[in-house]
Amino acid sequence: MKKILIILFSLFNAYASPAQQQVEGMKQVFDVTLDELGNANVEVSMKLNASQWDMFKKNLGTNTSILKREMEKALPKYYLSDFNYSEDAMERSYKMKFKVAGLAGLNGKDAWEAKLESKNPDITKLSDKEFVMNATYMNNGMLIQQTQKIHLPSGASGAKIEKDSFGKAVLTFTTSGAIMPRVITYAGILLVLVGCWLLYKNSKPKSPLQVAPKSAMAA
Amino acid sequence: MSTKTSFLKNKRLLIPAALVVVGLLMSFHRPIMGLIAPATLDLKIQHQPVIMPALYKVYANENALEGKYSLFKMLVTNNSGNVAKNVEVSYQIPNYIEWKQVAKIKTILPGQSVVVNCYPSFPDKIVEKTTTSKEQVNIKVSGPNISEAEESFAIDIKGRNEFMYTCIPSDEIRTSAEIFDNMALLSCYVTPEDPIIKYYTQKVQEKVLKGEDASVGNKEQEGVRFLTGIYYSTLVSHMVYSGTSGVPAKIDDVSSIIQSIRLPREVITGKTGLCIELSLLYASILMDAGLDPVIYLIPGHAYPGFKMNGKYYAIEATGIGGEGIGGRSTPEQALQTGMKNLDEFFQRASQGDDRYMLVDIRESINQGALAMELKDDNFLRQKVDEIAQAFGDNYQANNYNAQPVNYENNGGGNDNNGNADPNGYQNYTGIVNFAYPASWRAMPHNPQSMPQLKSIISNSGNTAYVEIYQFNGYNSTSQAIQSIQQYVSNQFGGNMQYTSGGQTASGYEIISGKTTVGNQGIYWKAAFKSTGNGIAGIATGANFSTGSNYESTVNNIINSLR
Repeated sequence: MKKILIILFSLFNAYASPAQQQVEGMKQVFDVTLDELGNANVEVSMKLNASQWDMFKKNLGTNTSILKREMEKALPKYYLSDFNYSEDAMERSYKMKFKVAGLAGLNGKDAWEAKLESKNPDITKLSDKEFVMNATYMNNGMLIQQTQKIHLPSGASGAKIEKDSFGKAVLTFTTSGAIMPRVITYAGILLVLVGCWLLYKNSKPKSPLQVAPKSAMAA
Repeated sequence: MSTKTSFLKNKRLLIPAALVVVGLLMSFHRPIMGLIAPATLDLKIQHQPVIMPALYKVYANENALEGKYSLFKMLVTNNSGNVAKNVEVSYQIPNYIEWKQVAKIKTILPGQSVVVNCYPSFPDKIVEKTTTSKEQVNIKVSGPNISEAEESFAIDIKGRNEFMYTCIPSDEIRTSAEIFDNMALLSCYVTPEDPIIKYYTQKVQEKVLKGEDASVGNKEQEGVRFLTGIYYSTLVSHMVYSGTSGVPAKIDDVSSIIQSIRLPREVITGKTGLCIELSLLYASILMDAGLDPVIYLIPGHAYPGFKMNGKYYAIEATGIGGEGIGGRSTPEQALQTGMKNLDEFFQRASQGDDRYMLVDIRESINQGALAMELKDDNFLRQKVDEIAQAFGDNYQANNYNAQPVNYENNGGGNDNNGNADPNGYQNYTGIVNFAYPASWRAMPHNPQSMPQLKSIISNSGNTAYVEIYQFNGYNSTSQAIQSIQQYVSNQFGGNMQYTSGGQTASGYEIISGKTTVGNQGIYWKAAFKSTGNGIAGIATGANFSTGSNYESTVNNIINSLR
């Protein structure tokens, strides 16, 4: 997931020449919304200043498919689809949306996990369903400050950051859809146990003391 | 009475028995549902156009070059209404890789997609392959409750010497650089660990250089001596320049030249090489000796060099030529040609010409583009011994010591003390003409920089510089300066103060000023004049931290404007 952060740099990075020391970097915000099936809907939105907008348009021209290609080249391990680009030239802002198939997968414990590909990410849990990850990079002398908002599905619970066997951070959470089959299995086992116990109890002959009064009355 | 009792007893047992049956159905609903209605998976596969044996370590490493060289990438989507459990994805390449599991997916929910990337471990013997063959990749997806699926695709496995310049589909190619998208993989042909290369390097170090400590002392002069020493070794062993096949090929939707590249050991023992092969040989030897080799790629040609202390050096390795193709250059001539080409290389690269590419071998290796394993070979060692006899007979390496030193002195420009020597300057010719310290180098151009900033030339420490500007459609120098001022303010939150300083003899208007950003900044001088299209000129200066060290250098540059 971290990889998503570092794409698109080449389209925005401004040049810090030896003559010019930068004091603040470019800010980028990524919204990553995971659905109930582990797919991610990513929205990149930026508002640029006049100079940055000039550079962006100069590089992009009218060929917005460059953005798609750069994204696909930057994320070769994933399947990306449903690209959509829109801009508001008057406000010097744009939005780009796309879908990443299978960004999160189910592990052996029926929990979803998404690899963050970073050993110590600067990540903050805002709520059970929202995280914010901050990253800062230097690119050609330009400071890039990025904020990635991760939104988990509405049915998500128990979200936490764990480590994989390589020590890299992994975001894990559960959803009702993922744990339902296990719940059914456990409920089935419970029913079998209860049924067996009742069978055992009901199949035992009743004691003579309980039967005797009935016989006496009949006599 | 007994019938009624039996019924009541059965009734008492009926409910628990039903609970047991329902419980069993719930517990084993997955395998039962799998038997009744197995999950169906939809597979979508993307695969490499070819397999290049020299890259077998890249294919095996999912972290190499961001993992973009997987054998195949498969999207598995569960399109059924049932959960798929314990799905196994296996693949096989007959004669190369037996059935091997690439992924085991515990659960795929209805509608869920999973991406499987395959990074195959080819056996080492694949590098013994010398010709192309068409092979089949078989993929099997199986599981206890899914309909087993099998897919396959054909793929060319090339010979170990064959290299495809790009794997990008032809209708996706946009830039010249993308035609050579695989260039970072050239480091797979750089074989410093090859026992034959190690042996050859030792011979060069011992017999030609009589010892060297370029990597130990980090001495540029010594590095240049090593570079010319390698050239000398190839020259006296009568190595010649010769071509190999490079044929255009169309594989699926990819069109590329497939170049036959002889391995460095083959170049040594065969005593012949193409420009790229000689470059790979130099890179292997330099790397084995602990230096940082680089290969410069320009349209139709390649030449080797190294970088040290932020500076780049180059030699024209094909200067060995051959009597049949117009003679042979001396080591001095080869070095001079290489360094001259290097200047042009950086100028073109700084102008954004993406056909001028630099392959930093150590960087490529760090990204996972590792060389193949090669075995020792007594016959080849004997060949090296025979070749090395020529070194001893003709050793004249002392003659080549001075030239690199002279080059460095020419380029010195007295960076450290700031007393720039105008004799150590070189000319810049373009939209403006001026001279700058010969040791300064053009910085790589960034297309996202201020559009009017065409080039930057800087000293090795990036503390002093010249920027070349062209403002098309501008009417005055003040308009140009204000534009830069606005850029500095918007982009960096900086402040620029300046004052007019008269005119040069060649009609440039001089402006002196300083730019501050936070606590840091630079003193600079700029000179602009009107051209047919607008305003053009330069800004040159140095960081506050350098004091007055570069004052005379800045004045020399401004005074050299023509």
